[in-house]
Amino acid sequence: MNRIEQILRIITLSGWLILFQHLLGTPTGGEVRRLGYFLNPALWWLIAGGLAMTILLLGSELFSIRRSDRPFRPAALGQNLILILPLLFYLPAQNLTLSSSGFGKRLTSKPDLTTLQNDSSGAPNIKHGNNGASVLETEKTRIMEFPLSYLIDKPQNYVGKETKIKGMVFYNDVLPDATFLCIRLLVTCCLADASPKGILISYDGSIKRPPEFSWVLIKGKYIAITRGETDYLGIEANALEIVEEPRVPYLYR
Amino acid sequence: MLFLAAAVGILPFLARQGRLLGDFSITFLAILFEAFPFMLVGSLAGGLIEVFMPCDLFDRLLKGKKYLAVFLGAGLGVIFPVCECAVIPVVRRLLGKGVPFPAAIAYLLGGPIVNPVVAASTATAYRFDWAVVGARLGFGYLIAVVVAFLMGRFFPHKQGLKILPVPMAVPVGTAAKTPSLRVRLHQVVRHGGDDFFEVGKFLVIGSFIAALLRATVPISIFEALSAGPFISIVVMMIAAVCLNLCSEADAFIAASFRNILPESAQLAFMVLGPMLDIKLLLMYLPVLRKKAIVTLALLTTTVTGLAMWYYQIATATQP
Repeated sequence: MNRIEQILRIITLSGWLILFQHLLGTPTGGEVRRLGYFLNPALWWLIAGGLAMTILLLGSELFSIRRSDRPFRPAALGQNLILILPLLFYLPAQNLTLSSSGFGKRLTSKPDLTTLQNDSSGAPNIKHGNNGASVLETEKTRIMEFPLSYLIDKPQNYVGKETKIKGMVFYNDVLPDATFLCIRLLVTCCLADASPKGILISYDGSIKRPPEFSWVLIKGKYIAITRGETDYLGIEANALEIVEEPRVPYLYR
Repeated sequence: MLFLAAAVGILPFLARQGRLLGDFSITFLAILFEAFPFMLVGSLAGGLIEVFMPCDLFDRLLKGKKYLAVFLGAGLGVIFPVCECAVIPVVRRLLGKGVPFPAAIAYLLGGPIVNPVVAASTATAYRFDWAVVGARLGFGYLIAVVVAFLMGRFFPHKQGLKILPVPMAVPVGTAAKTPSLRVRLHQVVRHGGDDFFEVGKFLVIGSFIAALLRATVPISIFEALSAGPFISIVVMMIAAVCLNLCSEADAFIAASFRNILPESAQLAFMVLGPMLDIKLLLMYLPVLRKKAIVTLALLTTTVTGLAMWYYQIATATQP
């Protein structure tokens, strides 16, 4: 390999090394959020593995200077530029989240609603708030702010419980009157596979209809909403507030 | 260079579409961040095969066992679970080591589906409906075997392959001096690096195109186009090729179509995706000739379509 090609490789690998390190952040700090913008943070080991392997490759290039009389191949420049391209995209995109239209593009006409089944195993984590009302404890992970991911697994345990939930408003023709969907994107591995998960919100005349794609904080009680022959878990809202989009708006499986 | 020009040229257009550039960028990076470490693992595994596996091993083991090699290759993912990004550098080195072409194709197609990780993720997505899990893995295996045999028939004597790296490991029983372990480990990393740079550029290009489609095409389009069960299968196969999802995560997307599309269409999405998508088509370029890639794509889609149509008729599943 030509010496210049090797230098190009060193530059490319160094860029990826810095990127992986930046994504991981420090283990104790809040930097894990940075990874959460792109991947499920539970996959931090994947990036750590990538970092370790990049170090290996970089070390191999640094400590074995290749001497060759072979002329420089212009294709090698293109190859390295292509591999550097993602780094250029990372700089402006590192703190971005999916836009409301991006959310909308992930939705189907029949959103994946949480249905109620006759399975009572796995009691939810309940705690009593200061006001004496029974409220659901929020997820332990900083990023998971509300218990929608619990609801998906064991919805039947929640009917009748008071709750507070944050999500994006979505309307659909097939929804019953005076209801909307409160959705969040559920990420399994990476943002490309993120799919919307929603819960039906029922509201009465005392609550003003929120604009579509706005972020809302809803206080209310879990109820069963029947549509056709299926019972869906929903929330009867008694208070609704328009709020800022959360810093990381996704849920993780 | 053409890709770089296109990538830079598309930026002003995307920037004019409001947040579209942001949506595209984070999707592009998300796909890459997930796939890159797997590809690095695959590259280093390829390096290990290159340096430590005797170059006449497969000749000795598989001589006269062409059919057995295909059946084993399609199920090898059970022992060596790999995703579709990691399997390509491994297959590249295995081919260089003399693994029969059809057997390598069988592993290339079957490995990312017929493995315990995919089985577990499919079971989770479908709430432990083992029939779906069995159908996905079973069809994945069968399609890999059938396509591998057909590829062997269309491209005998490795005619479908590009010129592969010359094997450097010493054959068993030769008098040549074997380098020290330290030297050989260094060679592993060097070969891994070569594979990373060779295959990595195609991963970037494929992810770029995939992200462009993911950011611009609403998923409801695939739903709207699905007029009946058979058309649904075709549409979901197109979706699998366009969305470029990892085989460990695609079941969750397929499951979101549970109340909308028949099971056969969901299966078509889960079976074809790990074998064929835009990113993979480009990543096959360092291994296969263009003619072989086109044939592989046509065969895989045809066999998958026929298998899913059969499944639809046999189960008479309704949406």
